[in-house]
Amino acid sequence: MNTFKSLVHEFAGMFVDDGSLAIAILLIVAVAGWIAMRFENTSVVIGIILVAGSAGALIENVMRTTRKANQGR
Amino acid sequence: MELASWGAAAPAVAASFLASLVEVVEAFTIVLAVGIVRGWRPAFLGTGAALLLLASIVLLLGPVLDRIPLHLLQLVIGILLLLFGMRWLRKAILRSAGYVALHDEAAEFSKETAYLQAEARHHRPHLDWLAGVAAFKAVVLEGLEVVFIVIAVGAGRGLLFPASLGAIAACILVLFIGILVHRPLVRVPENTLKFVVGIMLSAFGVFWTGEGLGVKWAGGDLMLLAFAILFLAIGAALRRLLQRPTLTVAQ
Repeated sequence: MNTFKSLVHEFAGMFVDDGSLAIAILLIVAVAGWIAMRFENTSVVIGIILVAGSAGALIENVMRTTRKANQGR
Repeated sequence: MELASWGAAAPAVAASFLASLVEVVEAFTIVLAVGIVRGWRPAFLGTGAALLLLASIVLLLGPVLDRIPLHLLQLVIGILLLLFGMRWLRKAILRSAGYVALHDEAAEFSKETAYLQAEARHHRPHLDWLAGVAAFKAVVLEGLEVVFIVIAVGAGRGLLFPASLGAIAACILVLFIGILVHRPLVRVPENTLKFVVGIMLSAFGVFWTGEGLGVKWAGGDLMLLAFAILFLAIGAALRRLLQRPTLTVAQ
């Protein structure tokens, strides 16, 4: 049972390490998806949201993590 | 497969090869510890059972994936790749900047060896079983990531076969070197590999998610390269900006 539990835990951990980064990515995709469903001819806008959003989420998350680590030293 | 098709498949093959290399090295460390401490029978039995389970997962998932509409498949896989790739990239940046300890195969080997030796003192009658489970768990856990990566980079464009070849090549390479040196493969630049794979998977993630949402990328597949360059630039810039002395403590 413990082996099964740890397998499930590890499987979830494949996609989520820092929860806030995962939530940010899902929010970006949700916004892009909402625009895709709601409006027409939005290819460029969705592309920009996905690229800029994921890059921005990564930068913000890494900067925040290192800032916290530096404050805790 | 024609030369042009191989050109299109190259990023998928490279991503699955490099990602599998990292995972197989980690699994190899545990299996080696089991084999050395408890003998090769439980190590091979645990590994064999795990490979059987992983093969069953691939065989079960293959036909199911064929029935899912392409856009939905691309969207789901794209989101999972984004989550997976960004997680690896984030960790690789933090490790290379010195904020998270580097993964140490030698320390991992010592930890697993110590665990098995402690278990030997307390649970001698069940020891082969415990050793087999340790090998099984390690191969399943690392193998699941390999299976996911192969499916994720291969399924969206019918590239499952070349992506699988990349993963199999990584397994053969690690086994070959492992048999030769007969100790943990500590010299594999794991964080650099994770950094590269994180970049590639994040690029695939953005690309597939966009295609799943109906985006027509200008330049087609070439945008994958553009995204990879963007994530590489971000990763390199963050590493340079945030660099502090590297932690050597193993996780």
